[in-house]
Amino acid sequence: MPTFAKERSSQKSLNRRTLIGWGGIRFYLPVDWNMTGFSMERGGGYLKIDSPGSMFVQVKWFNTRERRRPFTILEMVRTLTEIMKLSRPPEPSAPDLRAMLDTFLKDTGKQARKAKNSFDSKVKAETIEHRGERTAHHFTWSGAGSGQGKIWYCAECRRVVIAQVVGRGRDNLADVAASMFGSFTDHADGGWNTWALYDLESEVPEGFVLKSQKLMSGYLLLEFERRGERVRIERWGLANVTRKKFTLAEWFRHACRVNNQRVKTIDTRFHEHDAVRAVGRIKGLVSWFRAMRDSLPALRPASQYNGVVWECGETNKILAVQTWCNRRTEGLLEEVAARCVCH
Amino acid sequence: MRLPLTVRLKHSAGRYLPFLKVPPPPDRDAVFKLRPMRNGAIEWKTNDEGQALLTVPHRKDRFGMLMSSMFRLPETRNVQLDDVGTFVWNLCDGNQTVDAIVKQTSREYKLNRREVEISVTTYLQMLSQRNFIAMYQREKTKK
Repeated sequence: MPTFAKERSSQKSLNRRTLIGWGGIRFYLPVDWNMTGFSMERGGGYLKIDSPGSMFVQVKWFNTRERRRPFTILEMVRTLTEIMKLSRPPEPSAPDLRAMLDTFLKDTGKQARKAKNSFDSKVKAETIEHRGERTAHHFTWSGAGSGQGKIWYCAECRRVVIAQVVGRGRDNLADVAASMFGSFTDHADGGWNTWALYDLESEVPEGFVLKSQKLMSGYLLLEFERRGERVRIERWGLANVTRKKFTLAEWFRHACRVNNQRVKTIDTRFHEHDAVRAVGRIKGLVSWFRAMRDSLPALRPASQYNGVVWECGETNKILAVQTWCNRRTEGLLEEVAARCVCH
Repeated sequence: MRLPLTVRLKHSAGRYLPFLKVPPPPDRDAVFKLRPMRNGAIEWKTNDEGQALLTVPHRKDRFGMLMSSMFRLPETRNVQLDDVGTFVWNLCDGNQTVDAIVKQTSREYKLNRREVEISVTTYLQMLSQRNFIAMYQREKTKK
């Protein structure tokens, strides 16, 4: 287990906080807060995390460095020179945060007035935070409930993030906001994006984008893709009930549907638990054709299949990590699985 | 999350036609204070694997009597619960609130509270719809 995973595991047991991670966004909230809403847009995203009571957290972000499709001939030439590394792209200027915040507060005010409530908001002066990386505005509002939040621009990842804690009457917003903003990171850490929700905590290389997800009671699936390469992380709850009549290898073959690969399974130990490791290659002409097509233009098909499944007795869960990668990235499974925290 | 078309149609029709108005969802806190209690007419026993087997009598109203005489239905039918279902069934004794059941299930199966909340409330709702359990709220006693 890498050192940071151990650190995080021990930190979690000490502080009893919930880690939320989604596409580079990462922060801690009090225990028992859970994600209830999310979006998977390309240039941005949205998260909603509910408390067991009436409080909730909303985070919205968008990237300002998304490349615009060239429109004029001059723009096309400039883009071409940038791609050929003959010229450097111009440094983007910081967006007008105050204008964005005003629009946001105006919308919130509209909703409050719709519910026949008065609305009042306060915005603090611009501050420079996080070793000069972030330009931020803190704000509070009261209307249909009350909110404490912050909008900032991160010069490192060129992301604009707006996050707020919303509650009713006597909810202690300040403590939650302090805990959240104190631990907030808005971009990948060392090239790895944290994906953490419910009891699943994992990290995936920055280049992988979320392709599909299934968030069901007792079953979570996150599937990522990068030019044909795939990483699939699954978590089953109720391990003692669901795996009652099967061995781990049987369970793996059945639940992970590895029959469309030429796979060898080996019993092993992983994260101090009994595990099954699977190694193989994709099989069938259609699968090969698909792998070739998805890898274009690099022509490095993700033909290598690797998988590992283990049962964590401490948390009564089964975790599985599967990767489909090319020959250059064969160690991907070990790296991703080592970053998957189970207890 | 986008609601299904039928639900959206119901909602929009309910705006103009009062008899189609969709009732607001029950308050979460109020639901969690309810106490599920097993139907006394249902007999149950546990098998070797610890799973509950419920023996549910058929309806004794006119419609039930008619149907059972027409189709020669047996007096009772059996319903087998799984491990988690049995665990929750055992807790439906009229003393535990929904909140307590959620907490105990979460602790027993080491599941996230949110996950348990969703599945246990859905399960209790299903049991209630089939008249296997009834929900009641204990009134506060005045001193």
